[in-house]
Amino acid sequence: MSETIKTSVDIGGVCLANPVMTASGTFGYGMEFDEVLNLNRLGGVVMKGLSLFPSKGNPPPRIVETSCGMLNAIGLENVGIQRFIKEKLPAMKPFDTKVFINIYGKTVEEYAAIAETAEGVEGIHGIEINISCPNVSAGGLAFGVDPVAAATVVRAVKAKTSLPVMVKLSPNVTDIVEIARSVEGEGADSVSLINTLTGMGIDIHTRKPLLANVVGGLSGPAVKPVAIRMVYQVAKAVNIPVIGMGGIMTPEDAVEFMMAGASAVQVGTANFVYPDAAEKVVDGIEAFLKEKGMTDVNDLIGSVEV
Amino acid sequence: MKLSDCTLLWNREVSPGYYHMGLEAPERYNDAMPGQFVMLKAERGGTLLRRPFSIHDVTQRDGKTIVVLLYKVVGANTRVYGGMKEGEVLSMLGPLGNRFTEPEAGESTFLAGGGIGIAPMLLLARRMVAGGAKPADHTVFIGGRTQDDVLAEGAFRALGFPVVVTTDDGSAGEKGRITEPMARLLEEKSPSKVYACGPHPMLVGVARLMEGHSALCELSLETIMACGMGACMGCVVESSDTDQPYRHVCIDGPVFDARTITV
Repeated sequence: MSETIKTSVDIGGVCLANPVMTASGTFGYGMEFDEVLNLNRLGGVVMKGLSLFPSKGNPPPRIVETSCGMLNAIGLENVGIQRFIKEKLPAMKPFDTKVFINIYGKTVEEYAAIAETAEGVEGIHGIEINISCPNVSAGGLAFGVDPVAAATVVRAVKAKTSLPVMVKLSPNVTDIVEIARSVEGEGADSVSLINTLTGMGIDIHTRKPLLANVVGGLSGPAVKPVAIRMVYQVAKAVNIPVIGMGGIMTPEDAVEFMMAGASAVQVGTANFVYPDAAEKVVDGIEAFLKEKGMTDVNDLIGSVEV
Repeated sequence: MKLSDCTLLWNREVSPGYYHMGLEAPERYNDAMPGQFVMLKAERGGTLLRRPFSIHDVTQRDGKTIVVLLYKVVGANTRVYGGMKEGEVLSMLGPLGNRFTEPEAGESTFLAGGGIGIAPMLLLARRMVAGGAKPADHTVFIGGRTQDDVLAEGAFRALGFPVVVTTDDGSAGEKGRITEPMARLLEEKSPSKVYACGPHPMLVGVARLMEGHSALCELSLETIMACGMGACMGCVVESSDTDQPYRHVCIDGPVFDARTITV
């Protein structure tokens, strides 16, 4: 970016060259997008959610399009942390961007074990914890809907890693601020929000759910107002950086998230539609700053006037 | 870079509801392989996600590379394409996916397409001819519900391929399923490779027909997909490999050996 405009942001122990990241689950392991955009232009990339062992994911159909969005129940298909480190991560090392792994487990111990496996591995700059998965030892209730369970996961991961830890919050809660405060209390370096909203669709001709998993996560432009509201509420309530996401398609959407209080943003579903979307958002934010005569992207953060 | 804005050179309704579209495309499409596809984005009036389309043909004119698509208007996105005029621009991602396994010298093959499923077979036929195949050694089967759904027959005949047409209502060619003449000619022609693309019941029929036969049977599949490039993991089909229970249509396919997947 231009010399006269400061675009770098600090998101809790990680300095990004610009505030634009790609969201987990929408950007593969990064290299899939090497032929459609310049990975060096991105502030950061978040890898597809990784489990301790490879996971085959859900049966099809896994996705369905909805009004201005999509429902997915991929089931977190992934190669597992070990194969990721061996087979996927090396290709990302030459790029000048920050690589975050996204981790999930069915138990607190699994989260900790993944963090331990990633400890000291060159090329990983941070960990994003997905707490939206069912907690097997608590009867399948998601870690992310219970402030105590969420805090327990963060504590366990922090104990095993020296990397900055970002906690990805679920919007499927009554009070997201309570969860954010709880993980902040356990030393989370930042929070990212929102994960997908739980949804469902039915084929009225066959009377079958549209997804084999029956329910799935809603993403895309349809969720943006919900996400903006939650980012606004959380950013006011915590002292750690907030990374905003949910339906960002354009640079204007990203600026809106930053004004709501986000220090950085993640571009998600848009990567499927316009695989160069994240790079366009980087360019567009700078253009916006220029147009407004601003010299530091950090001046956007939380600048909404209520 | 796989993402390009492509200018429409023509967009003609070739049969009720079916369109033949020519797009000026980057040179890399000259190397597009038979079976590969593109993802198109419909702007104003379309839905959020892209939609996959088989590459029907690749030609050159006045030094330009032209990607030809054959599509049927079925929903919001294809309605947008159907209304587009020469000179308008479409965002096209591609070429994507794997390819059909082309025949070795001297082998004979069946190319079977049901309805819009005939689309990828023309590029395959053209590449086979370019590779030295004698069209008379191969047979093209085109199936449709009615004569309106029988597409591209003239293009295959122009290349010199024998064509067998079937329709459900008998309005063109033989009345009945496409697998009936395929079964009949299987003994006589003993193809080494059988390629098929079309509606699900047809693919099931072709896979069953070829069960136990020594020929390689390759099916081109379509599923709902968000990205087309291996990122969303949304487009899986069930595989017969227990170590790898799901295969991704966008990067492992769209062409699969019928024995390796659950149709």
